[in-house]
Amino acid sequence: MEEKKSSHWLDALSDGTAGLTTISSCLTVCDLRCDSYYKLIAAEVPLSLEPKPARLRVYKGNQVVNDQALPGFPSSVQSLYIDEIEPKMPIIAVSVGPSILFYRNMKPYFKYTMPSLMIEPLEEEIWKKLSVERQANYEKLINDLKSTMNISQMSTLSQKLISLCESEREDFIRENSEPKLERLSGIVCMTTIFKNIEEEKEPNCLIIATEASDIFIMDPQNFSILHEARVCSFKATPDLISASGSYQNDFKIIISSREGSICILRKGWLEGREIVKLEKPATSMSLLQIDQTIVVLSNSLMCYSKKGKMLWSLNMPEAVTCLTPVSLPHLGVSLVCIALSNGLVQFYSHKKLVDEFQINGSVLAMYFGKLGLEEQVLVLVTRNGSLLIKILKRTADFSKPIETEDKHEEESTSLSIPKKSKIFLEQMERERENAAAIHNIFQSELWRMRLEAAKVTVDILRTGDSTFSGDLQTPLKLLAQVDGLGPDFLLTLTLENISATKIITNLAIILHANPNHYKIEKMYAELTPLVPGIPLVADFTVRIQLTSENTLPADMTLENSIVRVLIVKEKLAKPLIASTVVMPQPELQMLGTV
Amino acid sequence: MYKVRKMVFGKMFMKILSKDKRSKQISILIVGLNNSGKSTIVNYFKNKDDRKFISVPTIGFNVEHFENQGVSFTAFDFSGQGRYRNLWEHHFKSCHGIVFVIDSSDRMRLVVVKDELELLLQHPDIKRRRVPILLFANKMDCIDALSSVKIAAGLNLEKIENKPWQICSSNALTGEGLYNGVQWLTTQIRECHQEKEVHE
Ligand SMILES: Nc1nc2c(ncn2[C@@H]2O[C@H](COP(=O)(O)OP(=O)(O)OP(=O)(O)O)[C@@H](O)[C@H]2O)c(=O)[nH]1
Ligand SMILES: [Mg+2]
Repeated sequence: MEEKKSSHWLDALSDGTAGLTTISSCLTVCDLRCDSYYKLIAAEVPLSLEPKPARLRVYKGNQVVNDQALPGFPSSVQSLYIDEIEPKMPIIAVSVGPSILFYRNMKPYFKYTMPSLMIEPLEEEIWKKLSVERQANYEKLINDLKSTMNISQMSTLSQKLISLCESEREDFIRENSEPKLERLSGIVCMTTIFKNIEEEKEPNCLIIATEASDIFIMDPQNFSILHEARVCSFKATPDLISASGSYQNDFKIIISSREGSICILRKGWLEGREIVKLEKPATSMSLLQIDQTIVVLSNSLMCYSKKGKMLWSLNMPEAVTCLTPVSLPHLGVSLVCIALSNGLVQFYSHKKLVDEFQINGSVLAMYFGKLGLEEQVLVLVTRNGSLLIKILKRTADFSKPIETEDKHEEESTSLSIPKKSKIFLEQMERERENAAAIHNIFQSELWRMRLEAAKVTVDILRTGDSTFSGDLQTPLKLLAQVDGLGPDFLLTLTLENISATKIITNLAIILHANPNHYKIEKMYAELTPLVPGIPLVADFTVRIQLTSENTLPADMTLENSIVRVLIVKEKLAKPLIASTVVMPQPELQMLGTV
Repeated sequence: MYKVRKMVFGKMFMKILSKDKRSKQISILIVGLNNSGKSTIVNYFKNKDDRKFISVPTIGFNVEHFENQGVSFTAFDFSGQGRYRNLWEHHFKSCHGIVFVIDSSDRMRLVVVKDELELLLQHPDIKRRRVPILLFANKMDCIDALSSVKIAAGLNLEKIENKPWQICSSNALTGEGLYNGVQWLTTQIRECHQEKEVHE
């Protein structure tokens, strides 16, 4: 395969030995030390089966500047601001199981555990019985538990119990003779919105989505839950989440579920609404901040409106792994960057492919935004643990789509035929019924128009007021054009001999206007002989006779602002053409400057 | 070609300048990425009383005047932030020398430095002119600073044709390396001027 390189990106770093395995939701960037040097924070997610502890790392370039162990498998890493105290120090929130670990200055700061869910009375009953029953009856009780309840609805204790083999059960039950049943729901994904002002480094609210399909909005200043809602009215386990807006004003939360639905949750709602049902659950999804559309990656790249209307879609040549919005306000564009499993990274502006490059390995995590001291940086982490940093060139320009065979464009174009309106149908009906009458009216109107035209022609011939010469011996055409804003105008006359062969000689132009209104520099001009087909252009300066106060002459009106143009021929008493040019009104603000 | 003649720079320079009426002052451009230490360097050359102590990122550019060995310089201290970098080129035409400041410790952005330097060298107002270029590998005191040799190699400086260039390690906080660099620049600007006069 031919190496595709992009001229828009500078390769700042390509470290194949970084040994970082992470996913987009566990990657964040923030001004960790308030020194305007943005650092990459990534939770190492062990993807292989061998038990390797998860870690939280801070990178400066490819150097790990902070590394600590996490107590469990992380699902999301977010950086957020909690207060307005200067210097504004971001805190890092890492969700592990049912808890969120908050770090300030990379030091553990607070641990929040999601409230316990309801315990089924039946389950409590069974545990009570278990503590008093003999061993022989355990089997029946445990089977009761299994048959009446879904594993996901059980407390952790019950889940453990049913997974044990018979010999271990007795000890386990004795150990937990007074069980404290707790059902905790794991956090699946998190995101942030602003609390009030939607600006960088302003306080945020944390949005938490749990396995039990609950969405929590938390104020991290005092770790209180501000709002609680369900993802949807039916079963929809959140998987991906994206949000925009501020808690105080208005916000939208988009949730993509494992069942394939995409739901929207707005301010004040207690339950989200499904807006799209996908065939396959999305692998990556983002609510674009600029035009508030939702881009979704499943087996194709799709874009939906907030109401769930599909705006466009593109089939992808390969399996896609992840997506990140690339917003470039200085260019006025907002792109979507997607990574394909074969290592191709593509940039789309709506449906247009505007850039692409090839890297080695399939991308698992991507981030675009500030990093270090640069504002437009793309961070890529591949499956084999390499860390790549690409900086957007200052001179990059994505206005031109790159040349590709448009082979994977989905056929979605249909002719935009307007719907048949009621008025249209009624009109059709009328025409059908009164066809004869309509035809007659049309014919008589047509004759009336022809008569009108003939009358005007006769009139022109009689008065000689026209731009054409009626004389067959001297066929002439006159065009007049007035330029200028006033009080000085330039009158350009174009005179053309429209005969086939004859040369017309001894012509002159006479301009005439009310001398109280207009002063014409040259009122009489003799013309050179006119050859057929070559127009003659003559310019005349016409100036309004302003009063001493720079105002228009008192008796000048729209109707009498005219200049008469006469084309005369020597020894002919009647002018060949007599025409009037209506002069425009001068721009009033121009008058003061004279 | 002229050899460098040992002479008192200032006097010689003044003489040339008085002949060349078009440029009464030597104007130099201080460019480089943001946070590389441009303003700190310019600040160092000013009189002790004029020095500012708080350093904030420059917005747009500042014009500063200072003297070095009797030559008065007008220095355009530009902002290195991406959105202001397009201001640099508007001053290329009239400048006599360019100082390009590099943060030696910012390894990740060496590619950006390279890109900006290439853009500068390819600019029509610079490309064919013999403008001396002084590069400061600044912040040499930082632990992870790259040596000036490594930076020169990374930036492909040996490929620069038709322009005298020099790279100096510097520490703008202590002033180390700064005078040597500016001394080189002064010499070069003088030579360029003399050559120009010979041609005229
Ligand atoms: N350690 C060290 N720090 C330096 C050195 N030179 C400058 N600094 C520091 O680097 C920071 C940025 O310096 P500035 O002079 O403001 O940088 P600049 O290039 O003018 O930046 P912009 O105006 O934003 O383009 C300041 O905090 C300086 O104190 C140096 O040689 N060593
Ligand atoms: Mg500065």
